[in-house]
Amino acid sequence: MVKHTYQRGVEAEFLEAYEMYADALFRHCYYRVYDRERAKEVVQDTFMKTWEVVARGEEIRNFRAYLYRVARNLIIDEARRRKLRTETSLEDMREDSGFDPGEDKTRTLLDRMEGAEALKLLAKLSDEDQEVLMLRFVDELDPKEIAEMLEVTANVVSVRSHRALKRLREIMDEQKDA
Amino acid sequence: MHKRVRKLIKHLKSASMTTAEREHIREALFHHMEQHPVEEDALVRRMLQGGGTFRPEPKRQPIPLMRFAPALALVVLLAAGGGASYAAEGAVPGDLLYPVKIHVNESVRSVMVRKPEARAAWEAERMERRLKEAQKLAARGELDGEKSAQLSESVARQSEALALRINDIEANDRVAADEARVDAALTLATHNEVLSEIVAGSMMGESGSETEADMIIAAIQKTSESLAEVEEAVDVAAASLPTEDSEELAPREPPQEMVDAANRRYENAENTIASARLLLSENRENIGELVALQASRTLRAADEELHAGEADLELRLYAAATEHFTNALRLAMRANLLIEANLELSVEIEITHDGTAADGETTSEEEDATDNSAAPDATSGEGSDSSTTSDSDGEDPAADTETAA
Repeated sequence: MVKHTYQRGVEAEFLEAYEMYADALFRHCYYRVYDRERAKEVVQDTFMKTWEVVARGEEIRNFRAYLYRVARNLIIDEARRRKLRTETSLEDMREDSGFDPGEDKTRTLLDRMEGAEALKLLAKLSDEDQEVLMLRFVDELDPKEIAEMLEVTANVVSVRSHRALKRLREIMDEQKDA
Repeated sequence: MHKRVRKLIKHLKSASMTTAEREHIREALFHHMEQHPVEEDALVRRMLQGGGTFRPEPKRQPIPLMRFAPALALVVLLAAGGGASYAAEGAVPGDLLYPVKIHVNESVRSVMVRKPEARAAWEAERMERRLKEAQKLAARGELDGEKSAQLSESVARQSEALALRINDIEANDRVAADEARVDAALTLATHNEVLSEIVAGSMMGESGSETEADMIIAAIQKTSESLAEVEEAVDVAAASLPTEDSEELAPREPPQEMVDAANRRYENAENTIASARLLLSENRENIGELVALQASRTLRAADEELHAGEADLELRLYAAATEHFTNALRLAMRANLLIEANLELSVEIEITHDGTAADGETTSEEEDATDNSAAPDATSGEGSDSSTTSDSDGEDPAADTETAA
């Protein structure tokens, strides 16, 4: 078993972590900025910045939470710079950038239409609620991790996600009845 | 959960990057990492903090250093600063930093490695480390009784640990476990050969060191044999299945395991050949011309075996294919170790056709005198070696007195 791993442990591990988390991070970013290119940039910057921290030897306790936090901050900073309100409606975003989450082309048009419809409804939730729903149910982080990321307690996260889910259901039911 | 909510969530999850996009970013990231290398201090700090893997679980408690490092090593570590654990990597028994290598560096890695396959790979690597230390000492002529006892015991213990790890894999992936066993057996056998050659070449009749080295060679051989038994058992089991090439029987589908094993071995052989080729091309100038020649000849033989195996695969003769791939793997490992030994130990070693050593430093009489170098262990089939003409062997001791740089 003469393997030649010329990379030292840390670099290889870090790149493995990239493989593990990049996609989920992209998705998270995409649903914040609704711009594919921008989302990719954020992912790249996030990993690069995080690497610099690792290379300096600083401790990162919860790696995934750290990544999300860096990404979040990048997005928020940029939004502030651009003076964009983060509550831009979904329709506006879609018109600007061409809704392009990169989904599987084999899905039926109906599916995609339904999905787009559902997203519109999601947009009716507050920013906070949207975020926590994404993190909890799409990215499937557990409340403790989300708590670290958002810098609140795990309890707050649980309550928030529960409430957000309830609101989403209500909105969907409203629309159905309308 | 609400049906539409579930659908929404499913839809949201579908957003992802294409493989191309992901690769593109990875490349940029890699570049960035090269520009911002890890600071030396950072690595040691990481180790002392307890590894800090990039996992979502909260960090473990830092490993208390005192538990592993003898006080002396600790003092050395602190005094020498960040560079110590690096320097330790090259240590052999008897060196001041050797305890750091074992009790700090290796311990930390052991804790960090979790998945069964990775654990097995790590234990195999550890075993190789001990073998390489023996080779290094032998090359320096420093392999005395105490060290060789220490190392042979380590090798024995390591191979036990390795066997346990392989058993762990077996439950889920029988083919991977078998592959790991074969790999380990071949590794031991190849290292054994190299060690024998070093001993034969550098001892030059210094009786004291010879017996010590013999001890360790014997220990390795014993371990090697027990692993070889396992390999044999695997082969026997495979062979007892009806052969696919007998057309008289109703054509039966070969068991999936057999197919998987053949493919696995194929992959292993191919990767090892590629890795050896790379090593050769990167180090051509640093190893002797003869070694380079030897290595490429060996690799060519490995390639031939590989192609033969591929042909068998086409014909769905899986048992025969596996045998060819095993030979290819063996040859590739040998080439690899040849080059490595020359690079790391600054001793020219050639594993010639009949197993005797031709060391660039010895005179031509040495060639025939060595008995103990032809290690007759079950797994190294010298007969399968490519036809190495003896002409070149005769020439080298006279012509070549260089040692690898």
